[in-house]
Amino acid sequence: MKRSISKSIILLFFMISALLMKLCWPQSTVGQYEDEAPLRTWNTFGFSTASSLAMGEMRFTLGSDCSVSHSNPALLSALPKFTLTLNSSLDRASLFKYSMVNTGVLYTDGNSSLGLLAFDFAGTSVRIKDWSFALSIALLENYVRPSVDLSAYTSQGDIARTFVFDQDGHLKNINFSVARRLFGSLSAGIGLNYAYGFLEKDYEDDWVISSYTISDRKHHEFESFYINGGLVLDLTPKIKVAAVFRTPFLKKADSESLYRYYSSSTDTEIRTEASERSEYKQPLVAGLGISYTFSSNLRAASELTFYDWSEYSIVYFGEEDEQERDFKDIIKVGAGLEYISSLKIFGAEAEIPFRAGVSYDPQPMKAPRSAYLYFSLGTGIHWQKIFLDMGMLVGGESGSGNSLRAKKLTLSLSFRM
Amino acid sequence: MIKIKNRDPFGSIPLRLRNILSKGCQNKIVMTAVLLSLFIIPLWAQDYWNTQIISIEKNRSLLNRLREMNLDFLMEKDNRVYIVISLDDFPRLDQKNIPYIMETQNFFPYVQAERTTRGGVNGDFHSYVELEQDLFALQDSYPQIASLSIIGQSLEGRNIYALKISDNVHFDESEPEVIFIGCHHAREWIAVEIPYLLAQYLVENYSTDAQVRDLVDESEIWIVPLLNPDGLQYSIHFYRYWRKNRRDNGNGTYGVDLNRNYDYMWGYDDEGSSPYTGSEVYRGPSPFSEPESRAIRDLFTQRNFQALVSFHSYSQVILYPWGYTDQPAPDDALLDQIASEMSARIQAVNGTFYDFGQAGESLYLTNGDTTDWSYGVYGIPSYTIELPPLDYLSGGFFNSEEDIQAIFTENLPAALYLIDWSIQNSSPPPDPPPVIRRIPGRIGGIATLSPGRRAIHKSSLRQPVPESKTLKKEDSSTKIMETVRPKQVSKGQKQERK
Repeated sequence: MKRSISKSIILLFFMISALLMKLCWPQSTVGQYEDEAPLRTWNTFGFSTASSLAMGEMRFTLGSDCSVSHSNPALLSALPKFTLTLNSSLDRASLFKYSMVNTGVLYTDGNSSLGLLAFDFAGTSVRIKDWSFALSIALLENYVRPSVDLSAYTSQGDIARTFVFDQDGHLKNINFSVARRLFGSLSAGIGLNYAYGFLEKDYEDDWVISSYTISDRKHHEFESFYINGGLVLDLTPKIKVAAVFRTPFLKKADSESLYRYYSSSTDTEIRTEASERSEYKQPLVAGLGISYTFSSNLRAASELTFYDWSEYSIVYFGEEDEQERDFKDIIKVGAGLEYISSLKIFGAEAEIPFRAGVSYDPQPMKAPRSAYLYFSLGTGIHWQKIFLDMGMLVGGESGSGNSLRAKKLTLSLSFRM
Repeated sequence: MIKIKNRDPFGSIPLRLRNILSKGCQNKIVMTAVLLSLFIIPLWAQDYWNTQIISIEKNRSLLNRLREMNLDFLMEKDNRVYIVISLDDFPRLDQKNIPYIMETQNFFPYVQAERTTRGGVNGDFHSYVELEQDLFALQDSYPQIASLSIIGQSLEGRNIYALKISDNVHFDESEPEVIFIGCHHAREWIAVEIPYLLAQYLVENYSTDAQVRDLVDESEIWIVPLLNPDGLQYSIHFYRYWRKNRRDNGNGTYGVDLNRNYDYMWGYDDEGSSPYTGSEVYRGPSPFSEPESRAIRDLFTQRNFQALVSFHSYSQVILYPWGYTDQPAPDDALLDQIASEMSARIQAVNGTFYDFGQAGESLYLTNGDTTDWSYGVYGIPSYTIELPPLDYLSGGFFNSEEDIQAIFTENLPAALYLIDWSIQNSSPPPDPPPVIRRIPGRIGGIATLSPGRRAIHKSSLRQPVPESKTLKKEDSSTKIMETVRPKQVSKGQKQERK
């Protein structure tokens, strides 16, 4: 019996994985110029481990691990005395226009897709009486783009020109949160965040046949601080409501630029270099959530999140308005459902959760208007102190005309004591 | 920003001598040199600003009159005598009725005033925002002689600015007008800098340089340093060698070559431009289909220009119409003479030779370009100046930041000559032109109307040029236009589209 259950879980895991591979569509792009756009979506508040992702990224009123400290630290009060969570994800997205691709220099027949496998969260929490503390690190944003490596040949078969483009980067976030149960049914939490990372974009255009090369490299080292926090109120034994926020903050960067010309036949080198500060004014985020517990094994949640994108602005290499973004405020909405069945493994009670969710994720650009609709599913096994969860999200974009696709598969492992 | 590779202050000292000098001794020498320079540099700078260099025709009677003034003779060249003169001596020259030419700019590197903007992703070159700020700064600093106008907007909504420089700048006087245009092609960053620096030079030297003052007083100089702001931004942020504007052609390709979009002989053949959207010389779906080229067209309908220069790069040549054919223009001799004069003035600065000739004969055929249009429709001398470097192996569309001033300095006398030529050869226009929008200040940008003006000159050259060939279009669907036919090229230059 135990063996067959284990086999079933493993089989289910691989079936979902296979389904994801089959559905390997492409993802988003919407504005053609935004190098700093995170892969898939601009709206990257908080972090979703598998249980959250599977419920349509619900994380304001329900939380099963310390990743909630990135969205609503107040939920730490509801966690066991000690938790440790690790998470890894396979994030796939399709893009059409990005950088010089499909904006005039390089053309693709359709969307390009990109898959990223990352160990993207580690965190722990402890609860001491009414106080809870959490320390975690999460990979919040990825700036990677599909790379380009092209060669053109002469009629004699010699290389005439090579072209290489690459963009890489990410934003990681270290969060330290404190939460306290204020009185019976109200909990509050606040988190201090240190975000850091980089964005680097390079291309090299080598005109081999003409003996010269042009290249362009731009590198940004990010660093920023911000605060997030939240409240959770148990209105009734079955209804919880929550309010969360993230302060607006400046994602500051030390930026470097180098344009270079080099002719190998004349040994001529011309460099145009710059080094300046850049700033990306990240928006205020505020959210509301509600959850309802139908029974001991069935609960549902719904959330809406406001992103103040109309205030988004950039100082690029010390120049204001150098790259204007015509963004609008957006509200992301979602809902999720969780059903928990139980069984016995090695004589011990085990839980098998089944989760589903849906979310609508509008993007901030005014033109073209663009939004993702995601559907998510997930399951797992909770056995004694070990929680193994898996979630997947698939979505499609409409509005840009490029039918972008996205999907994410997440696997979480938690220990709770 | 240029990377300084050799940071060793003793790098040029022979090894043996370096060994003799102890480290302490080296430090003392460096310290002494630094201290001395602290005293010498201000003295030199003060002297530089109080003196000018002039040239006077080598003529016995003139020289006799000069001797009485006890001036510093600098050199003699091309039958002219060069003299260092203080500002106080200029009235004495005028009293003695001695004609002279200001030559200072040919000897000293032009000292650029501190830029109002700093930073920027592309070093000392201007981005759109930097240029916008610097143009407003020029207007704000010299409101009596500089006035900034928006003559149009790009596809992506950026302003296309024109700076008018003249005395009584807010009035339209009956003075000849000259226009300098920069950056039809996005990757030619130097073509933004030269017209901008020309504007800066004119306004900053107006009060101290008699020649500049005369030119500004007697003409209306229009400078459009950045015609293709969208393309420039794309070149800065995404692909350095982007050439065209940012038109989405609807089939995955982008851009129209603005310098093939003017309506004179537009699409005359598929050699001088291309009907294919992916081509680097795509001429657009129709003449003046692009707001950027329409901005120039509209400015011309409102003004009465006597001459035009369109700056491009690279190859160090001065080109004049026709570009669409290798047949000579009706005023070929005059066009050639002016180009020759400009080339000679450029060469006189530091020896850099700019070849010159008819565009259709020199590099490659071009149709629908700016100079064919301004000459063909308005009959004015029109020049494309292809700035350095000489060829693609010397940098192509790249120029080092330290070359910006040098390239401007060598082009300055040619620009001043063309302005002067326009003054000397102007004639009144047939009708007073309408008024255009002017921006009084940075904030608000409220459009006001400048007063109407009296009828002014009309150049002897200013006659619409009859088309020497009937407009002819070929069936483009049967031809694939990948490259254009290379024409005769001087000095072994590569036939690459500039």
